[in-house]
Amino acid sequence: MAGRSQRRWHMSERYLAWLAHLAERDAQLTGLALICVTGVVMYYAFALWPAQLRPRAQQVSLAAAVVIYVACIVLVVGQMVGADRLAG
Amino acid sequence: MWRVSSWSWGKWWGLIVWLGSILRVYGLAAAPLWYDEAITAWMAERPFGDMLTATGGDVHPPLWYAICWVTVRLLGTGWWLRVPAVLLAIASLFLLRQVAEAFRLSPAVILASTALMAFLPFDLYYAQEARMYALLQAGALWALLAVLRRRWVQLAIALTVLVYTHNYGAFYGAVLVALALARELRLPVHGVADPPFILTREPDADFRSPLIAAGVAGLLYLPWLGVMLAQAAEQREAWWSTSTTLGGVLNVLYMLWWHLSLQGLAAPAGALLAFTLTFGALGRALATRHPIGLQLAALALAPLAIALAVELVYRPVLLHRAMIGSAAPLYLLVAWAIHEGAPRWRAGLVWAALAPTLALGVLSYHPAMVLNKTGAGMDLWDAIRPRYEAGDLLYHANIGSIVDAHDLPAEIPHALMPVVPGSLGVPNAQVRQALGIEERPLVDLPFRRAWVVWLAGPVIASAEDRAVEAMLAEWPQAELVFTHSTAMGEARIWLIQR
Repeated sequence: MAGRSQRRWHMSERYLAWLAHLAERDAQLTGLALICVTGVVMYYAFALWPAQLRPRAQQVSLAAAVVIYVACIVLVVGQMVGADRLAG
Repeated sequence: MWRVSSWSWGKWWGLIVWLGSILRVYGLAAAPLWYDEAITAWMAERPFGDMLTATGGDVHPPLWYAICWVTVRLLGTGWWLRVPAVLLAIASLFLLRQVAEAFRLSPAVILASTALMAFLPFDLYYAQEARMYALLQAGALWALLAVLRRRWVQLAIALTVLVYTHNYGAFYGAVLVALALARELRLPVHGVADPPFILTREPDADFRSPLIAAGVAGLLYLPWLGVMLAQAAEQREAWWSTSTTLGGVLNVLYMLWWHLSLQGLAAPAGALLAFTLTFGALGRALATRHPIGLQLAALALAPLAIALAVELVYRPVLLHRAMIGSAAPLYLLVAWAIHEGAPRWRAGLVWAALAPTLALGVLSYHPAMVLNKTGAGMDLWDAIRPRYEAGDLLYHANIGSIVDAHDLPAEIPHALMPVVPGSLGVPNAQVRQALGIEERPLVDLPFRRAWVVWLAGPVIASAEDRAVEAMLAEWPQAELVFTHSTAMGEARIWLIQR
């Protein structure tokens, strides 16, 4: 299969720069997707099965989860400020 | 009946479709044809036989090129070639409503999914692209509607349209036939011994008809199958796309929403929204095991899974634009998850987050589209024009700039440096000959002054760089008149006076 590595030998520096750009984009999108998947799992964990936890424990764990979640978003998105547009 | 103010939901739907149609027509001629569109125009302008020969040497089936061939003769070339895409994209808005009604989705879901399709930059972009993607989307929706309504003759025709439009048509066709069979499984099977007086509301399960429809489409595709296999064999190592990664898959999901419209901080914000709504909708379909949610999820994701499976046995084929057939099911799935049986506060919360980004996407779509389609070829011509003299030859180091320059006045002579093997995604000799491209060494060409144009992106091989240097070494009087470099691309122009 003609993959990224097999082609390097006959391609120019431009190709390597493109691969680096794709890798950076991949890393950014993967970070964002992780945030979203975590958020969705949290939502269903708390919305669909609330009876699993006692009300007080549920409130505390929900508040902790939201704080961690928002911190993650601030961390990941903050690193992207000033970055080039995502998709190319 | 769903009502907002004194308007029925049908009027709101009509308003969305009107606005979506206006956005699809607005600025249709604002951007020049970019490479893919320009080579489509070039092929469509050739005699029918040459067009077919060029198509056979390229990578796509011939239906879209045939439509463009007719369009050139009825309307003209250039941006007129985007008109069929606009019409098909507007038709898709109507098809989406019919599909949603066939699924018996609520008016709120129909309105939300129509708004997503009408306003998301991804759908706007391919509605204004002189390529086959609007046809692929309309064909996939038509085939889905035929499945839901159990119209098997229509299914056979729609599947044939799909496979003659794009190679991904086979992926969508496989998923749709599988869906048809799965839906038939849920219908009763009555034996001949069943008492005839028992009336059932549901028709009998019919497994044969979807398979016959698929078989008919397969038979009608047979004349092109050999060509497609030859294309596939040739492109196995020469295609430009890279191996798919997790980020590559996520990029497809992102592009299905925002395409290239969002910039700066809006892009990660748009990605967060797109991923949250996509994964949230999938999560709801899986958690509730709702039949409609599961069907929509399968329609949205199964073609992607097939593309990834093909990559394992063949070569990377995943392309966001070819996933356009999954866009409508994805929008329906998201709209279903937001509205169907959900509390109003949650739907309101989602739209409060989505609406501003959607508005930003609509506002930034047009400038982003024009910027994206304004190819370097036009910039290069701007560099040449002030000193161009009648009869000057434009000598292109590769096919990129000669295709970009296709819009230039016909009296300007062009020639192409013999293609150096190794670059990726280059149209083969069959295509170049069918397009009538003159491909000769510069020394063999009669000229007084020649402008050597070299446009090199990531997929241009080092061998071509060396070939251009070797060619220029034969012309010590070559004057470098334009140069532009970025990390991923270079553009240079030399003037050679004999």
